[in-house]
Amino acid sequence: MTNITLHMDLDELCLSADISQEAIIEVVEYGIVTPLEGDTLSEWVFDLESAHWIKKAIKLNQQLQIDWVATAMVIELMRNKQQLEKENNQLKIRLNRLL
Amino acid sequence: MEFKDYYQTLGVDEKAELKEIKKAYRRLALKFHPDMNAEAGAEERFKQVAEAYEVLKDDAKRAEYDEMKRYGSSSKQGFETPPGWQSSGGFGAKSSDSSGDFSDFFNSFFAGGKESYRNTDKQEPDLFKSQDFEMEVPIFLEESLSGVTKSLEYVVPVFDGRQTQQVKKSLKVKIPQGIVDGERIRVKGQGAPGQGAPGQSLRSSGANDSQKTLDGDLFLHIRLVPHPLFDVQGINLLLTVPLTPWEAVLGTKLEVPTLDGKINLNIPPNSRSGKKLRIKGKGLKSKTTQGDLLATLKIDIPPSTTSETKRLWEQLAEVEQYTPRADWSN
Repeated sequence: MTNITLHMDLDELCLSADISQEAIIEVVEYGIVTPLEGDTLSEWVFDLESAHWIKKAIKLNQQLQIDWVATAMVIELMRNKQQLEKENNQLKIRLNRLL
Repeated sequence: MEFKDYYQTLGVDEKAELKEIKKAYRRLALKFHPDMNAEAGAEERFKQVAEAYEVLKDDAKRAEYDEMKRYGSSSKQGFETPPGWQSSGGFGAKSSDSSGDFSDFFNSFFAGGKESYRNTDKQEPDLFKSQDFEMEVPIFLEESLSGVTKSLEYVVPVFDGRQTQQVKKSLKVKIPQGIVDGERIRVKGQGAPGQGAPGQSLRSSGANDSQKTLDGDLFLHIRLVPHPLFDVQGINLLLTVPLTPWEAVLGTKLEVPTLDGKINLNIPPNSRSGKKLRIKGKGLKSKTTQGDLLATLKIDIPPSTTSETKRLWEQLAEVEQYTPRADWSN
C-alpha cells in the first residue's frame, strides 16, 4: 500500500514545487494562506489545499510578472469564484429536487 | 526533435531588445495563461510562450540559441545541432517553471543548470525533484463514509535525456474515511519517476554524481460523485422528502434512506413544505465529528385526479377557510 499524507512541511513544499522559502514567506505574509500549525518558520505545516494555493500564487507571481499585492488579490478572486461556482452548482441541483 | 523558433513564438524580431521581449511575453502570458483563458489550446500556447521567454530573457541562453538557429539544420530526422556544437550544460539561472512542461527541444538544450533545492552545504548532493502529477479521483458518498481503496491508473511524462515518453503507472491508494469534496491527498514518490533505476525514492541522475533526483509526488484531488438522493452541505447531508398533502396535514411515519440503511422518521401533523427535520449523526464523517441528515419536506400533489378525488378536494375547498394569499389584500 502507498504512503499518503494530508500535510506538507516547509521543506517538503519547497522541494515538491521547486520554490524558495522566501517566496512561501511572501505568500504567508500577504495573507494568501496561513500555516496549519507552527509558530516558527521551521515548524510551519500546511494542509494540501493551502499548498495548492501557495504553488498557484508563486506561479502566477512569476509567470504573469505581477507583484504580491496583485497576486494576493488574484488568488482571493479565484478562490471566491471557485467557491461561488461550487455553491451555484449545488443550489441548482437542490432547486431541481425541490421543484 | 523539432526546432523551436522562439522569436516567432513571441512575435519579436531576432534583434529585439530585452524590454521588447519582456513586453511581448507579458502580453501573451496574460492572453494565454490557463488561469485567465479557458479556451482549448490556450494552455499549450502559454507553455510555448513561457518556454520561449525562458530562453530569450537570459543573455547566455539566448546567445547559445542564436548560434544553434544560425548554424543548425533541419532534416527529416529532425533538428541537428551545428557540427561540433556542445551545450554549455548549465546556465546557473533557476528555471521559473517546471521544465517538465517544456518541449524536448528545450529539455535537451536548455533545462540544465537549474539551481538545486536550497542546498548550501556542498558536501551534500544537490537535490532535484521530478515532476509532480495531479489527478481527480471521483468517490461515492458511501465510500467517503467508510474509506475505500482505489485502484488508479495514470500516465506520467518522463524525459529520458533525449525525449519525453509517456509512462503508464498503476497503484492502489487507501482513501481515508471522512474525506470531503475538494480535499487533496499526497502520495509520496508516485509522480514522474526520477532519472535512474526505477523503484528508488532517491536516486542518482547518472549525469552528475553530485546531483540526486527525487521521484515526483502524486496529488489526488477528491471529487464526490453527485448522489441520486443526497446533496452535501459541509459534513451534513441534505435529503428532499416528498409528501402528499394529506401526509403533511395529518402527520405520518416514513421510512427514509440514509447512507447506511433506512430509518423511521416521524412527520408531525401540519408540516409545511420546506420544513427541515434534523436526523443527528446520519451525515458524512469528518476526521473528528459526524454530520447530520437534514430532511426537507416537499409537498407533492397527485399528477391526476379521478372524479371521486376531485369531489373530495371540492368538499375540502368548501369547508376550509384558509387563504395563503392573505397578505395580498393590503
